[in-house]
Formats: sequence, C-alpha cells, structure tokens
Amino acid sequence: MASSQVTRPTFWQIGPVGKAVFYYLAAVTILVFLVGVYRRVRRYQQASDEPIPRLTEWPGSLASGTLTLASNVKLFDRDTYAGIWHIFVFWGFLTLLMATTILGIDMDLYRPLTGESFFVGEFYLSYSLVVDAMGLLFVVGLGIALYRRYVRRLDRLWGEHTDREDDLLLWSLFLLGVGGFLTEAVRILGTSATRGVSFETVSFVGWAIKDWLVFAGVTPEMATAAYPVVWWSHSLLALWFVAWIPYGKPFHMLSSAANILTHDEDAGRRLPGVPLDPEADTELEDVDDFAWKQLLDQDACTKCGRCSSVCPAKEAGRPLDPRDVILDLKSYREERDAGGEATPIVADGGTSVIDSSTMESCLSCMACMDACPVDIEHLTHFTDMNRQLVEQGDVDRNAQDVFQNVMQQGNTFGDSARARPDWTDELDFEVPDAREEPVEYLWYVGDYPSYDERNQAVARSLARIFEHAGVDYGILYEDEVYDGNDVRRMGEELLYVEQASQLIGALENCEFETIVCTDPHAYNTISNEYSDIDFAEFADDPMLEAPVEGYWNAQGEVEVAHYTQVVEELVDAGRFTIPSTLDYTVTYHDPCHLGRYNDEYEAPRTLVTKTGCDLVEMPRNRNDSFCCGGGGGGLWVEVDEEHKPSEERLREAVEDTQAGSAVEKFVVACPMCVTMFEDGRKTGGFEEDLDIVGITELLADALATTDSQVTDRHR
Amino acid sequence: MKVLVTVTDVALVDDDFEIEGRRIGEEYLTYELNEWDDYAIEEAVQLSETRDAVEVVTVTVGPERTEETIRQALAKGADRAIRVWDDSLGETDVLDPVLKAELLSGIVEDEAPEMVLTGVQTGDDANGATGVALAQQVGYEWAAVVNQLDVDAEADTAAVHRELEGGVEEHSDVLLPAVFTIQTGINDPRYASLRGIRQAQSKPLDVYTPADVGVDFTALDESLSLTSLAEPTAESDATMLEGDAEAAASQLADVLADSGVVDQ
Amino acid sequence: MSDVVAVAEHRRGELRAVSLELITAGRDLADHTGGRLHVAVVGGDVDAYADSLSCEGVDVVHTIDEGEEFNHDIYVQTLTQLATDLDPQVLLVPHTVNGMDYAPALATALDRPLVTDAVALEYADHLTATRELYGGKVEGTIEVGADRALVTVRPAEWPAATGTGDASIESFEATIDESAVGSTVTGFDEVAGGDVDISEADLLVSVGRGIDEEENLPLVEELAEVTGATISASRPIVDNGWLPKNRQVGQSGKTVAPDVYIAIGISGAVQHVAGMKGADTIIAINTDPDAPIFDVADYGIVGDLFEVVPELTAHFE
Repeated sequence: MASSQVTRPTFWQIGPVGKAVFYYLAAVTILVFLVGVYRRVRRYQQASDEPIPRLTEWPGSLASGTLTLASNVKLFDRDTYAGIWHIFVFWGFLTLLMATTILGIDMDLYRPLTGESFFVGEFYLSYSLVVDAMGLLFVVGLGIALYRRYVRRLDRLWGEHTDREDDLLLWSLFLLGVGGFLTEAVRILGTSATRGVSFETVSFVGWAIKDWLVFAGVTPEMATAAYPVVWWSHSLLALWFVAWIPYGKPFHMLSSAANILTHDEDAGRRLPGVPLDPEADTELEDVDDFAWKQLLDQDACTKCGRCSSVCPAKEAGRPLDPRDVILDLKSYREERDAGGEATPIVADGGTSVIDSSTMESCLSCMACMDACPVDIEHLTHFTDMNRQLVEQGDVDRNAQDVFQNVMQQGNTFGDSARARPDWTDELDFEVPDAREEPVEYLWYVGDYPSYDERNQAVARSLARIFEHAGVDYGILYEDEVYDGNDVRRMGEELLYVEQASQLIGALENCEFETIVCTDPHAYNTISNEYSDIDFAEFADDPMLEAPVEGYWNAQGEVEVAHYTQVVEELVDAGRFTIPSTLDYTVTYHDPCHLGRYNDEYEAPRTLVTKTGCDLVEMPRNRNDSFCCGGGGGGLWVEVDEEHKPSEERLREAVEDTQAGSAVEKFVVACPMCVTMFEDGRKTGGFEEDLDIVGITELLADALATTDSQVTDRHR
Repeated sequence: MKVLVTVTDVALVDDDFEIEGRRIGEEYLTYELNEWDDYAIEEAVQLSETRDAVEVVTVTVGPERTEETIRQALAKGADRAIRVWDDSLGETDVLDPVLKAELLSGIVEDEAPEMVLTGVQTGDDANGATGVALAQQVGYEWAAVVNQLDVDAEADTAAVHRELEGGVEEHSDVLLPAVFTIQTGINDPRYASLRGIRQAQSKPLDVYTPADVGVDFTALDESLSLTSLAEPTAESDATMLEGDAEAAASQLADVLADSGVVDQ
Repeated sequence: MSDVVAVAEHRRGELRAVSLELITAGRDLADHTGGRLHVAVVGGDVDAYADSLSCEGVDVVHTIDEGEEFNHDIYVQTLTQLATDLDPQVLLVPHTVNGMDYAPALATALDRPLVTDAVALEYADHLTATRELYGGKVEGTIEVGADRALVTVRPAEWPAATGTGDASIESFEATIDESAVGSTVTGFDEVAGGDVDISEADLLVSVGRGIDEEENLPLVEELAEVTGATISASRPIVDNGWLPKNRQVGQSGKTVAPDVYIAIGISGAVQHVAGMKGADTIIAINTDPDAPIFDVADYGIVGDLFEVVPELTAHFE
C-alpha cells in the first residue's frame, strides 16, 4: 500500500458546514478559555506584593520546578499508586494534547501551505502507536483514580470541601479518554468498508475495541452511520472541557504548574521577611492583604488531602485541618469577589473565617508542605494569620507569659538571665568563654539545655564530649539569649527581631568559625533567617539597638551547624572515636527542624549506628517524620486534643518498627523533643516500654563503658 | 464618658536575691505590668469598644522606668497616659497607700472621669487600699473586688458583682461617678505586641509633678518608715518524707492509713 | 489616747472568726500602750454579736445598730464618728474583702496613716507592724512615726480570743447622712455551690498548678478514687476551667478543715493557705523545697507528683 494511503481521514463525514461549525466552536472555546485565564491572572495581580522574589529567581527554581512537574515525583511520596495513576494521566493528557496540536498543525498550516500532509506513512504509524499507548495509560490512570475515590473511598479524598467538581473532573476526563478510543474504533470499523485498514493495528486499543464491536454485531455500515454522532459528542465534550478549565478544578493544570514553577526552595524554613517598618500596615483584614502567591496557592490546591492526612495536629484531634484552612480562605475569597459580606480573616471566638484555635493547633512542623504535590506553602498563610492574631491581641495566656518572659529575661522560662550558665556548675571542668577567647566552635546552648533540668543533662553530655574530643569550643554565658525561632512562627515577629538583634550583638563580640547549636530550632533560624534582617531599618531606632549596619552574615560566611553534624565531622576526621559498645535496639526520631526543614537525616544516624546499637526505622522516618508536638508554640500553649502527638509517635515506636516491642531506646536530637517525649512517655503509659535518650547521652553511654564518666545520673 | 485607669508596674524578685540594707538589690528586680491593672485596662478598653465616645486615660505614679509599662497599656487600647512623679517620691521606702491616693486625686479632680478603674492590689506591695482611699478623697462612690461590671446605657449607674470570701458574690448597684477596684478573672486581657507598643509611641504621655496637679507633696505627712527587711523565717516543722518516689509514697501511705480517713 | 479599737466583722447573721483574732491582737497591743481595748460592731443583730465579742480582755463593746448587712458607706460614717469620739491610738480592722472595702476610706476620713495586712504588731515607743513585701518574698517592719494609726490585720495570724470577760456593752448613736450612701446591695450569689460540698469532706486531695495540664488530672482523680477522697483545687485550676468553682479552696473559694488535706502541686500562696490552714493533718507534695506550703504542712515530700502520686495510688489499689 502506498505510504500516502497509510493515514486516516480527518473530519470524516463531517462536511464543510460541520467543519465550519467546529472551528467556530473551537474559536469560542479558546476565547472563553483565554478570558478565564486572564481573569485569574488579573485577580492575582490585585492582591498584595509577594515578599519573596518568585519570578526573578526563575532560572534556578524553574529548572527544579520543571523537573518536579515532569516527573510528578512528589505525587509518589507516601503513596506510590497515586504517583503511578497521576503520571499516567499527566503524560497521557499532555501526549493527547500534543497529538491533537500536531494534527491541527498538519491540517491547518502544513497542508494549506505545502499542499502535502506529513500525517502519513511511518510518521502516522508511530504517531498512532504512541497516542494509543499513552491514551491507554491515560484511561488506566483515570480508572485507578476512580477506583480509589469511589470504591476504596480513600479517607483523604472525602473532606469538607469535596464537591461535584471533583466528580465532574474525573468523569469528564475518563469519558474523553474512553470516548476517544470509541471514536477511533468506530472510525476504523467504518472506514474498513471502503479500504484496507490492516495497518491500523498499531492503534492497538482502537483496534481491539473495533474487534469487540464486530463481535457485538456492529457492521462497518452501522459504524459509518454512527460515526458523526460519536465524533461530535467527543468533540463537544472536549471543547466544553477546554472552556471549563479556567473556571473550575481543571485550572489546577495551570495553577498547580505555575505554583510549582514559582516555588521557593527555602519555603517554611525561611519565612518571608518581617515587615520591619514599625508603621507598616501588617493587617490581614481582607483577602487582598494576602500576597498573589498565596492566592495562587489557594488555586493550586486540588483537594487531594495529603496535607491533612499527614498533619500531626489533626491526627491528635486538634481543630486543625490544613487543607480546610487553604480552601476556607479560597471559598471566602470567592464569596467576597461575588459580593459577599466581609468577615475577619482570623480571630478568637467563632466569627472569623479561620479560628484562632486552628492556628494555635499548628506545630509548624511542615509535614503539610512536604506532602503537598503542588508546593502550596501553608506556613506562610499560617504565619500571616498568627501575626494578625498577635496584633489583634488574641494571644493565649500561656503564650503571652512566654512572650513576656522573653522580653524581660531573654529566655522563654522567665528565669533570671544571670542563671543561664548555671548548668555548667556540675561539670568538673571550665567551659571556655567565647566572649573572652577566640574559639573554633561557638556553641549556642539554647534555652532548654540551659534551664530545663532534663535537658541540662544533655548539655552536660555534649560538653563532656567536646572536652573529650579536644574541641576548641566556647559558650556565650550570660550573654546568650533565646534565638526567637518559635516566637516568630507564633506571630510575634518584632520580638523575634529583638532577640535576633541581641544574639547577633553577642556574636559580633566574639571570634569564631562555626556556630554549633544544640537545638535544631535555633539552627534553623540562625542559619536561614537571621541573614534576612535588614538592621539598617533600625539605625535611628530608640527602642532597638542595631547590632550591625545592614545585614548580618549576608554572604553566608558564618557557618552554622547542628551538633550532630559537628560530632559526625569530628568522628570522620578521626578526632573522636565512638566505641561500638552498646547493643540496644533503638529507633531514631527525625526532629522537624533538623530533618524536614534542613535535610539533615544521616549524620545523627551515623552516630547512632557507630555506638553499636541496632537502629530500626519507624515507618514515618526522615522527611515523613511525625512531629513531637513542641513546635509553633506547642511547648507552651494548651489546645483541645484527643491525645498528644508525642503519644502517637511513641506508639509508632513500640508497635510499627521491624523490631516491634523490642525497641528499648527512643533517640532524639532536639531539646524540645526530649521534653515532649518525656511528657508523652509518662502520660501515654510508655514507661515500661522505652527510654527517651538524647544522642549525646547515647554517645556518652557508649564512652562510659570504656572511659571516664561522661553521663549525668539523671535517672 | 471618660474612664481613668490607674496603672503601675510591680517588681518581680529573682529567686536568688540579696537584701542590701532596706532594699533588694536592683539587679535582682525586673518590672512588669501589675496583673490586676491588666484586667482593669482590658475592662476599660472593652467599654470603649462597645460604646460610643469613651475615652480611656491611664494614670501612673512612678519614675521614668514605668513608661515601658505605660506604653503597654496604650498599646492595649488606652487613648492617652499621664505619669506623676517627683524624685523625692523615690526616696521614701514606704509609700502609704493613702498618700498615693492623694497624688492620684489631683489627676481625678483635673480629669473628672465618670469611672476610675484600679486593680484590687499590686503584686508586690499588695496593700489593696489605694482605690478605696482615692474614692473617699475625691468623694466618688466605690465598689471593691469587682469581677463583673455592667454600666447602664445612660452611664449613671453600674451593676457590679463583688467577689467575697467563701465563693460568695455580692451584687450591687453603684451610682456613678465611682471607683471600681478590679479583680483578676473579670475578662481576658489582650496581648500588646511589640509592634503595637512601638506604634503606641505616638499616643500622648504627659508627665506631671505633684505640684502640677495641685498636691503639695512636701506637706504630705510621711509618718511611715521601713525599719528593716528580712527573709521570712520558715517556721516549718513538717516531717519531710525522704527517699525516692517509691519510698516516700510508701511512708505517706502509712501515714494515710493510720489517719483512719481512707476508704479501705 | 492610748486605747485600741478593734472592729468586728459579720456576714449573713454570723460573726466571723477574724473578729476574735483581732481581740487577741488588740489586747496584746493595749497591754503595751497602756490603754483599754474597745470592740466595735456595726449592723445586724448587734446585741447577739456583742455577747460573743465580750471575751476576756475586752473592756468595752460598742454596738452601732445601723443596717442589716455590710455597707461600706455606713461603716465609714459610723466608725468615723466613733473613732472621733474615742480617739484611739490604734484602730484595728480585719484585712478581709469587706474590711478593705472601708478601712482605706476610714483612714482617709480620720487622716490616719494606714498599714495593711499586718502579720505581727509590736509597740515600744512607736507602733511597728510587720507585713510581707515583694509578693511575699520578704518581710518588712514598718514603724509608724505618728501617734495615731489604722492597721488592717491578716486573718489567722493571731489565735482567737476566748472566754467571757466583764466588758461593758454600750450602744453608740451615729448620725447617718443617707445622701452619702451611694450603693445598694441587690443580692447574693453562692457561686461555689454545686454537686459537692468540699467543706464536708474528711479527706481532700487537692490539686494545684503543678499538675501542668488538664489531661493530667486523672492521675489525681485516681488517687482520690482509691482512697475515697474528695477532689479540691487551688484557684489557678478553677480559673482555667479544669474544675468547677465549688472545688476551689482558698480565700475566694471555700474554707475547709478536713481531717487530712493532701496538697498536690500547690505552692501554698497565702490566699490558698487561708482556706485550708484549719485542716488537722496537712500533707504537701511539691518539687520546690522552698514552697511556702511546707511551712504549714505536717508531712512533706519534695518530689515529682507525676512519680509520687501513682506510687501512692498503687498502695491503695
């Protein structure tokens, strides 16, 4: 058969009138589509400025965003089957779209211009094969999705905001997929009446369906007659779908993609800059006080519910559902745009869009952001709302006390600033004073290790390890103040700036190479956020003394590390050996601010395994780690909950690892985790099951069997 | 309607303090807003939010140090502030609450508020007397230890609940103008953010000497003087049960069993 | 000129114990000043009160028959007149809610220096009063330079006076200016009523701030259950809404005097202690060895309630 015969008719039996109608409808469709998209974009422009540069940083985030988008990698996180079906649908849809476009180019550009068609022969065959294969994946993917939604009724897919739109999207796409194959099959059968179609076997799905039609008794004549109806219904559905895109859930194809492409690599761990001008209007009164990126976040949400399904606050029975927060804000915006009444965005007492108890429930753990496949930055919304609550004065009593304590004594306990270094008294050596001599490592001890009895033991263990390893270290003694990380996330941003200012002031008086932190929260803010503060704003300020002119550490010249990273480096360099003397069965809990926030998962594990302990993993490990409940004010504020997040995590430790109840030690690397888990251990009744152990205490334990006493008798 | 709120800061003593003569060393003291005044401020600000034309004015008898606390009150919603001070006031060890009230009475006479809200007491001196003495001096009615305050529409009477001992509340109607001493728990004081405190810098804070408000301080009789300051001797003759939790609990269990009141 | 006048307090038909304590304090003072001890009682069934107030050591009881219940305007007016008449060296008033409702006004009206909440009194050439300062962290002695003073006296610091002396009972006619009475009592409310009357219990297990969180209450509730005790609490617990007001022990709650009072995680602030001092046996469990609760306790454990309480519960299960 001649190559030019290896092709298929387009607009078969549709006729010139039909074709004209089709093109007319297509034009209308495209117009409706463009108007819809234009409106959306214009809506974003009406919102407030976005503090983080999204569009100028493009080369970098564009590359990583494109990769994320193309690979659908985030959809595979914690749910392989979801990743599979979505990537089928994603690439299936794109392929079908490109295929139609290519055909359109051939029909409306190439043929008129050159008088020939490239939609023939080898090209046609390979095209048909690819399109059928991808179309099959497309339909299979949708089938899996339909099964998960309607048969298995996956919990996270059925929430407060689930509505007809979700059904409509799935079913319309499914019908488009199936309909396309049906059209193809009918065409193959119909055209077989007048010509050989043996080459159409490459369209193997359409061919198979054609066989079933034949088996069912459909003749080529019947197919020919039916074809226009089948073709029109498929075309109209397709046109309707395209027109629908900007007006409903399908818009996520564009908004989610845009959201991923404008993502912030540092989202969450580096919050948008604090509005430093004291006169700045930071009020979150109405929808347009949100930034355009936040509106895009809301539109990017596909209601998949992954954020809510991993949220530890929700799991504990707290009144926080991350998906609902984003979607409630979106609904409210849509209501307002339609002329609805204004309500406060966030307040105490039940008359606002979001209630203060919802924000108080948030642990700032970032599990929601980690799970979100479209890079929604929940934490920026939450921080804005927390800031608003603080400015309104809607602050929980305990939180007020904590803020007061920090303002007066420079620490969250409200204990005397003078007593901060008292934890060193029990040591039988002097801890070097970094204010008086240059040191290699300036050790930022932190509030809890300084003032909290249980954590002082951890601090002392670390001090002994530094001494033992001959490390050149020092501390700030009474000049050390609270770092401000959590206070910032709770909304008291100027207090955070004050703390940063004081701490940086103390650091500026010292000579050191690396800052090492006991607390991952301090590590996070000192390394990611301190360099964002422009102290030039406070040059003439009577209330705040600027510690430096302009920015501190703007080039990142000051290295900041967590102690597990430093100790691992020491071990690597041979300056410190951990004897493999222990044989406990242990599990390691990744602290949110060290793991998910800052991607440090392996250094602590290396240290643990070097002691000889048998390390088993909990199912929710590394970036899936389940928060202890201490962040975002969780240490201080009481919220309504069914059980504590720490209790659920400990349950996981003793039930869900490979070792089951044989797990003896629960190893942590953060002082807040120590506090929260010691509490959860008692109130959850896990005293008989396991001990909570800081990494330094485990190391000290390993050393103790061969060396001088390195551990505190804290039990 | 004008509401005057007396605001003061109280001294918090560090755990490890030292007495120097008849004072506690300044380095062991931090100052914060008096808890009762916090409730009084909140009560006044809520009044201004629920009614028209209410002005909330704070008045403080204190040195410059108190301005930090005064700004907090302004940040919480007060409209303007007054501070009265004379350095000689700082030299007395004991300020008779009646004398303090006299200083405040000068302001009250100038401002002529319909209501004066004070805290029941301060956290450090805990006299609990200034409000009532003030009322008597300016000839206002008063109600003390108020845990609920409802001002009628015309603002000439207030219905109050007073917290008495033993879980009993007294309900009274009080004619305005009046002084109310406010008890903790009457409301939920709002937080004053650091940003709010900074923005409150623009609100007026006027400083007066006693003479400015018509009080001749030198003529005030200072008949009280502090002769000594000491840590209270703990007259504890408790039998301490030693040992770890298990041992101590065991001993305690014996004590309880012996007492005969335990249901066995 | 060197006389002492003590003012009694009554409520809803009953004379309050602090009135008798003031007599002891007043007698002591009068012995030093060399004057007589007068007692004044205003309003209510003054004659019945006068009888109870005629303890050993009382020289004169003045009854002022004005009004039924306490009214501060009446008290200020009548006592101003009485004090002007008698011109005592020291006027003693109870440091109670009602006492402080009139004492400062009285001091102003009489132009007397005012010392409040005295826990000790002495008289050499001058009157000196001891009171707490800096939130109770220290005690200060205050000397009164003038020869007239009004002192409010802390309840439960002096023992109650007893016996019957040979006091003369005189009624005092006061003139009341009705127009100066600007407040009217419209009613009383027993806020601390409810299902349980903790003042009836023999054994109270009382929980304070040391319990940290509401979810931890079951720890203490279990102890109460196995020992047959009634649960009570200090003010912060009730303020937080974790237990109802009828469980509150303390100055603004209930005064209790059970056989055994176990204070768990309670620091022992004076307002709380005022409500439970009368218990026969007081047991305290607290992590702070300096907690004032140990000053009034008979038995104490310096320890973590989260460890001690379950151990204790285990003994009675």
